[in-house]
Amino acid sequence: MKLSELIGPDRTLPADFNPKAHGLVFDDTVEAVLLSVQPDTAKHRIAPVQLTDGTWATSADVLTEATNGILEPVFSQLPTELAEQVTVVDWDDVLALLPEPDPLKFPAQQVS
Amino acid sequence: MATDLRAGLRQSLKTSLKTGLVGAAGGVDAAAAVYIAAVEAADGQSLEAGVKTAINTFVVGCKADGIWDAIKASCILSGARTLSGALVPLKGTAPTNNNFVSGDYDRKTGLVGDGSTKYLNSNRAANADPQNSHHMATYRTLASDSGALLGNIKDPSWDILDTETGVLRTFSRSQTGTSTGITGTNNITGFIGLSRSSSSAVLGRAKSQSSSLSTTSVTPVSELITVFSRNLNGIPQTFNASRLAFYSIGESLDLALLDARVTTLISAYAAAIP
Repeated sequence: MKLSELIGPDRTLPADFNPKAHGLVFDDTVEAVLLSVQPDTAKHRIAPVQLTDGTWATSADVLTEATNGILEPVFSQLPTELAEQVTVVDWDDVLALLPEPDPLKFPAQQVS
Repeated sequence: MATDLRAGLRQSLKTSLKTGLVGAAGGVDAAAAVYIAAVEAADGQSLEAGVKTAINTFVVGCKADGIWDAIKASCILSGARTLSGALVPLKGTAPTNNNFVSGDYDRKTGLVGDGSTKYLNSNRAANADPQNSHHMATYRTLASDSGALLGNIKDPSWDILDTETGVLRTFSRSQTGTSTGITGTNNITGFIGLSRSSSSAVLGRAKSQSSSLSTTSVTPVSELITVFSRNLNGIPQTFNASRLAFYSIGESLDLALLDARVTTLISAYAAAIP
């Protein structure tokens, strides 16, 4: 499902939608737009993570802050049509594509 | 907008001072009053008298213990009415919130990570504190052992606090010497911290115990320290899903004293918040 099919023009969510159970997945183009509207000085940011297939993702719970929330300054600058390029997926599908959580090898345990 | 914020802050500060709700015995501490006013301005409403008193007692106590000045970047991730209020810095630069939403925040127990995307950038560089004077600490109310609580992992000087392997792991200006010897830390809550005050050892604290680990320091890197993850070249990794009610970063300090003050603060919040 595309994000544009989920949210209304005023960025509201359906009452029966569980945002924490879903993720938003998008490509480099959307990620670039998302970053471009967030100044370095922003206190609250959407920071997508890159998945192993090269796409980008964030939890859908950021949508709960889109209208009159802490992320409203971000969403208010995003073109409405961008929602057509964002796919809403199950959060488990995002978790399956997260990068290796601990790529570094730690030294052996050393107890003083 | 900025004018409104300043006016709100001034009014909130005046109200806190006028009502005498904080510091009944010795009056309100100036630093506590500024913090309370900033939180109330961010929240858009006043804090309860009991919460203000708890904050004042904490600040006054840290000063009396001689640990206040060593705290350089800190947030009490609880007590405030809103997430914005909780991210008001007690000391130092405000953190940058990455992906946390209001639903992740609870006034009594703090901010919960998701172990995959959510983190705070403390905006405190690892080398902002001296090589051999450094601490990182947090107060955990819901445990997740996977991932880092605070840290940077840029070679050659890591600063990492975690309980990933069921032991307290403390890296401070070092890539060696992971375990402090405090074991059985799986799913523990409460105060967790490290402090380095010499070139040869770092002290860890968890489960109300402190333990020293021999580990030689190296020159710290300029990487920013993140919370709920560890930072590498500006990219956070090994996210943690714990719920944290407090964090601090700075110079070396007495971990037992900070533990006592933070534990008392969080308990006082639980009693004061309806």
